[in-house]
Amino acid sequence: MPKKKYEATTVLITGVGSPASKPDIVDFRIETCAQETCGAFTISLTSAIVRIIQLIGLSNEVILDRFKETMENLTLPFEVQLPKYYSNLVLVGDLIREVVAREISLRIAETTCLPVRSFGLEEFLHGPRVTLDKQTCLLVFHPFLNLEGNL
Amino acid sequence: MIKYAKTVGSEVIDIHDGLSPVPTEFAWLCQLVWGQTLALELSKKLKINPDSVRGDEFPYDKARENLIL
Repeated sequence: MPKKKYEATTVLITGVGSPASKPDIVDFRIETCAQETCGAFTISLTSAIVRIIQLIGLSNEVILDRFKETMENLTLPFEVQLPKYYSNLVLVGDLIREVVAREISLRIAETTCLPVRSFGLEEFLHGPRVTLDKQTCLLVFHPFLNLEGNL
Repeated sequence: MIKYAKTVGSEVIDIHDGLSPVPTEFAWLCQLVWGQTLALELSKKLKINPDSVRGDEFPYDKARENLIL
């Protein structure tokens, strides 16, 4: 087992009461929320993110303060602009936003059954960009408030 | 990239870090929640139960019996 070979510590982040497929290789078990009966597991994902932030907070209290500040300032619900061409969605993000783009792509696909594609910015620019056309909606996750001249 | 897409004629929706006045470390979390909201709103528009993942729809219900995750 790689765990034994490298003397790694393993942490399982999973739903409350969920059966672990290999409980004997887990050193620590962190539970998130009650197991969901739906297919998209949105609450599970969000709960797992919170648990990971808490875990990081054990060695970095600042991150917990920043997370608390985030929760206090999160202005929900967001106004969402629905795409006109939702049957041809392409999601692109850079750096950590690539992960966001891929997660949202998965979320849209499994909840709406629409075909969705997602890419990291570099990957997209090196090829898949040529698949864009007038019936495509490109969703770009990026850091800039003012896009002109940036992306 | 944005200019490229617009020149081609694609629709572009940009989701930037300033969706909410949160610390920069967690701007991505706002984008994630925005995307989850988009998925939900698209489901409503298409009149699809976002929780079903076609488990109640033929032939997907039948096909699912052959899945091993």
